[in-house]
Amino acid sequence: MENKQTIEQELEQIAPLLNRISKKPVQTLPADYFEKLTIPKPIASASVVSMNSARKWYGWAAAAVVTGILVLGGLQLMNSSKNTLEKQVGMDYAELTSLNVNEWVQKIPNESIDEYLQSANALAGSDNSLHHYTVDGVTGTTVTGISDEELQLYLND
Amino acid sequence: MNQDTALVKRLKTPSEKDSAFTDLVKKYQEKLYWHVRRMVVNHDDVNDVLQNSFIKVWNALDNFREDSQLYTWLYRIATNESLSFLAQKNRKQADSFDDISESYANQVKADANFDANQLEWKLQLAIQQLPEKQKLVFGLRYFDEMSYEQMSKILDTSEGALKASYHHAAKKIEEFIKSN
Repeated sequence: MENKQTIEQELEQIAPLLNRISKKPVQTLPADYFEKLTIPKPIASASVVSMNSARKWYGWAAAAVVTGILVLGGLQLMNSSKNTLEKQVGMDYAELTSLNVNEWVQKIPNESIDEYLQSANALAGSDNSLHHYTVDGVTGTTVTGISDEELQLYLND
Repeated sequence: MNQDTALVKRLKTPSEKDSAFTDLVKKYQEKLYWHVRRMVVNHDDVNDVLQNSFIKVWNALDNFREDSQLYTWLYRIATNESLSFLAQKNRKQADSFDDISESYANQVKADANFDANQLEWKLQLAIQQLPEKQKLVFGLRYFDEMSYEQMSKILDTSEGALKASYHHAAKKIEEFIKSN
């Protein structure tokens, strides 16, 4: 520590009044403060399980469960739509997607088509344009609206 | 400083760390208390800052590099804790420097022993007129009789700047006392 005299000499040069003042503390503090002062030491050695990492684990697990439920639910929904469609047409999904519609329609007998048209007419009511159609009726009722070229194409098919 | 070398050695020895720390607190508590009080003023705040400082010392003991003196290392920790406390307090109050100075002066006057006619109390009031850094510099030199070299290690400031700051502070304090 620097020589006390050096510090006093320095002060004498710059602010001599301060050398006349006692440096003893004047502020009050509680009695026996320093005798009673204790410093709480932090507990450093205990093995601590971090709650943060446990919370993270739970979070990931919960997210996985929710994702799984959503995926399974989605798959279930897709399957049920597919199943409904398959039931309606009497074919499985793979057959449906590979279907050639023209070929398939050609194979349907005219009587079946007539039957369909009659049931569709009944549902549609007399105002609907389908009301007048049968397979043969198509050529009878609407022929005036069809060109010769279109008729020829139809007959050649 | 031979005593401090032995103390540091004990602090670094696991079996002696506890008792060495108790001795360290006993040796430096008063000096550090008054150093903090010159900055923080209110006793209860000083108590908090002092406790936090010693807790930081305890936690940092294993990292203490013996190339620096224990004395200056302790003061450095206490100074940083004081400045952090003041920064936090001043942020909450959001007052001007003059208002903050007045607030500290009022705390000095609120002391049960305060006597406006006593030179020692006028000195305490004068110190509270100074900016924080100047308060620190003045306190370390005037009350703790530290060298500029030691102060430079505590405050990370050049010795020349510290000398200029101290001279300026001493003159301002003398002027205040003479005019009050």
